[in-house]
Amino acid sequence: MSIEITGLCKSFGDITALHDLTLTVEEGCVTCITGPSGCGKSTLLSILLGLLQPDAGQVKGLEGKRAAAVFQEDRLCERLSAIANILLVCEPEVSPQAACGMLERMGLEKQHHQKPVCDLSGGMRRRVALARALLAKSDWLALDEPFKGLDEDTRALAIRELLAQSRGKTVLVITHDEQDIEALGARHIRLAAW
Amino acid sequence: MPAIAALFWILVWQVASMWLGQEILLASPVRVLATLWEFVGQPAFWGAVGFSFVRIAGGFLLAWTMGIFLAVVAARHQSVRILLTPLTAAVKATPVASFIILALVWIPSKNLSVFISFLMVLPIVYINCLQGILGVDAGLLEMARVFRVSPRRRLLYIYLPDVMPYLISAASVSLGLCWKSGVAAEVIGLPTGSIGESLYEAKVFMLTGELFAWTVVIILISVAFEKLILALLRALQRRLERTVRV
Repeated sequence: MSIEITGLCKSFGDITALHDLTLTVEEGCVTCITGPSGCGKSTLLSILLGLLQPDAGQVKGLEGKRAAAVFQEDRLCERLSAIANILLVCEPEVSPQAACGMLERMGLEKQHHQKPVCDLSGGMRRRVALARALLAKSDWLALDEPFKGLDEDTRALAIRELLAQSRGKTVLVITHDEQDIEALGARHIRLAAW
Repeated sequence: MPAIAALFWILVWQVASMWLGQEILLASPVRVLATLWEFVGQPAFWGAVGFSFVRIAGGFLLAWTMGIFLAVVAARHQSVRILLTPLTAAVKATPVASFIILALVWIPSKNLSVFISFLMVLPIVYINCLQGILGVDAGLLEMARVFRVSPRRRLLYIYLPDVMPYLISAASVSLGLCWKSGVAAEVIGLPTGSIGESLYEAKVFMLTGELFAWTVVIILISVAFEKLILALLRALQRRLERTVRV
């Protein structure tokens, strides 16, 4: 399933976020999108996730497909624990042990798994958000700066887990970091500023 | 400390009553306590308490059901919200006595307190619940949409934790109000066998001790009802916050 984007336009009042964007995201690959702030990367992701309607243009290849996402913000339920946040979006067959295992592989120690996420640091919360996206049932992944706030070691662990869990899936990653693109072995698309 | 403060004011009341020396003007706390003790042994007292409790609590629960339902609908449809705004503002601004006298034309006095406590509580629950729903994190709702989280889970883990503080606030404001307005409706409507009727009769026959005793009974029932409902809501909130299994 490749994602075909043709002539996509989106404005917010006088501000143009996307103008006549055409690109293809290849099936089963990791594709990284980079570009200066305000060039419409997150807007593009929101359109692909069905959260925004484009002013013009079309997207093909996502019909009936199920997405999992890491948003620009973590978007976690603050009072729930890390495990509960993951299980909230997962199918019943995903066990708490599976969630626990993934968090541990991403370097989040067991003692933090049952704490409300409001008590976790930024980097810990980001890993919970990423684990949630990886364990949720999905056909493709939309990840907006998924490694934001992670140190070098945990970033490497998170990248390894992402590659292991998303094998064969179409993955779209927004990042500012050239090293992430290299570590992910990803195809690179650079958006121009408007 | 609050108990000591309460004791101080009861003492002031006792001293004032003794200084005045006329129980018909100001019954002493001792006299009120003795009257209450007499009440407890009378089936008519429990009948009146039951009569008023069922109706006022009924009106309160009906208002909560309707208020939450209207808030859910209004949160989804702006037109409903716009339509209800002047109505809730009018109900909030109108004196309760006007509603009671007006409602007596349409409703039998027996059920007047149901309607009046319903009417007084409804806008409070509706407005608070609506604020809570509209205040739910839009980012979390988008997340739930993307991950296709079931409606049950959305309600339990996204909506309820945000709406609960508003519901608790609505409860603490409306619980006292429903008893004040409900008994006021009974005093004006005089349904047979109600607390309001007993209160009115005590006033007519200048039985100041009974008047004070009935007032104390209303306060006690109101406070007990408030504590019970708030405890239930807080227990529900704690349970939601503690929940780790989804």
